[in-house]
Amino acid sequence: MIQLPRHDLHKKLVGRANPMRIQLEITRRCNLDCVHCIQGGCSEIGGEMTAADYERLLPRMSAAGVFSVSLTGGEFLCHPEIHDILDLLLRSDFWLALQTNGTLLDQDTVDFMAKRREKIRAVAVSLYGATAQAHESVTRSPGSFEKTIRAIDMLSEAGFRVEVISLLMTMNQEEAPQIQELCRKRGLFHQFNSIIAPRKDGETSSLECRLPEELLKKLPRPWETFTENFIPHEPDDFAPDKTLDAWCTMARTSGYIDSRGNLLPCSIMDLPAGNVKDRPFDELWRDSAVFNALRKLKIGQFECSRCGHFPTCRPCPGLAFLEHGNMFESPKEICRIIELFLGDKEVIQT
Amino acid sequence: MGEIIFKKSGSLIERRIDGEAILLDIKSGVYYDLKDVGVFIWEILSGGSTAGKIAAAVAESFDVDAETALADTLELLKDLESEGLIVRDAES
Repeated sequence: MIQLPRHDLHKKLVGRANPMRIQLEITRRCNLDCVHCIQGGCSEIGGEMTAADYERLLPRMSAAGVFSVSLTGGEFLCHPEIHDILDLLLRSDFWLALQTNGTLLDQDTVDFMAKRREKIRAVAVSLYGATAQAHESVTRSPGSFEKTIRAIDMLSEAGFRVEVISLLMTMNQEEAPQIQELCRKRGLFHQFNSIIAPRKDGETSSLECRLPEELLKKLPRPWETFTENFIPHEPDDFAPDKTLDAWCTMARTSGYIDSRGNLLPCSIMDLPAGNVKDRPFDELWRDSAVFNALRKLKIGQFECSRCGHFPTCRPCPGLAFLEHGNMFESPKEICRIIELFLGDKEVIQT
Repeated sequence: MGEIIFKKSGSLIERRIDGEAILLDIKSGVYYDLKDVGVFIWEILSGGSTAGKIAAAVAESFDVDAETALADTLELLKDLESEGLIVRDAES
């Protein structure tokens, strides 16, 4: 018997294109109105996967080898059948992670989830400030701060691992130290982020909230750790003639199913392999022409491969897709941040 | 006193991938990989079993003598138990 570090398992499975982790966008509906949200159209009603659809889908995902499932949205608790869907997931054999704004969590739902708490690896909660003023300047939803804090406390008291994720923008960055302190006092895992992407429908007004360089440099987060989650590989894994196995998990070990059942490479790359309501997940995953084409892409096809920061900067092809409609270009927001902290490196001409 | 019955822990997610058994212990988040005879023994443990019965099945299905089969079985059961992947159910 061999104990397998997660990175080694990824390496073992990536060549076989065996899915390990799937994100389920349960719904695009949301009860908040966050300035930076990439979804747009959060009032979407209709066409969503139903509990019956998930009852058919989950065994096929299990058979395909998926271990972990993340629930996201929109706000996943806005789905009208969310309790049936949660019940299905908690009875299935997946390791779950939940991403929520927390405002719709009530004690009954927390108690319901707590009955199978071991199945839930973590609950990630979005928090944008240590005060209502800062938080609600982002959510544009009065009362949301108090509800989110209450949810964090309910989840913690019920024994869940709560991961607080804070996106910092121009309007809330001043509270970064207070957010850290709020989380430290509660003993919560906490992470800042500052990457704001264009909306999926191409709308770009949220980009005005991106932090300018002088503010980015003042963030409490040690930005040198930006690249620490890198999966360790050999330098040769990033040679121009290599596929993206060591770089990006999309369509290899991870994928995304949107609220209407479209199987996508990731949450931000709108290249559907097909719909899981029309064809079993495992067949789509294995046979999709789109996914198989993604699996054959070579690193040398990407602009990033000719930059001195690559692969340290861990550029996201999905973010490039959102920014330019073209995954082969560099994701400029990552370039901006990396150059700020690691310096401007010469582009290697090939 | 009878032999100890071992069974799988309830905190595992397991998948069969290319003939290997990949186990995820959701208490620790650690993955494990079983191959060949390990997969065979793991299958038997689905219904709970004793070291003696498992070793007999190993000896019958693989080209090994009973003594070797028992030694190998005990070694794997010890590893599985120390990692919390199997538990003692009862005595037969």
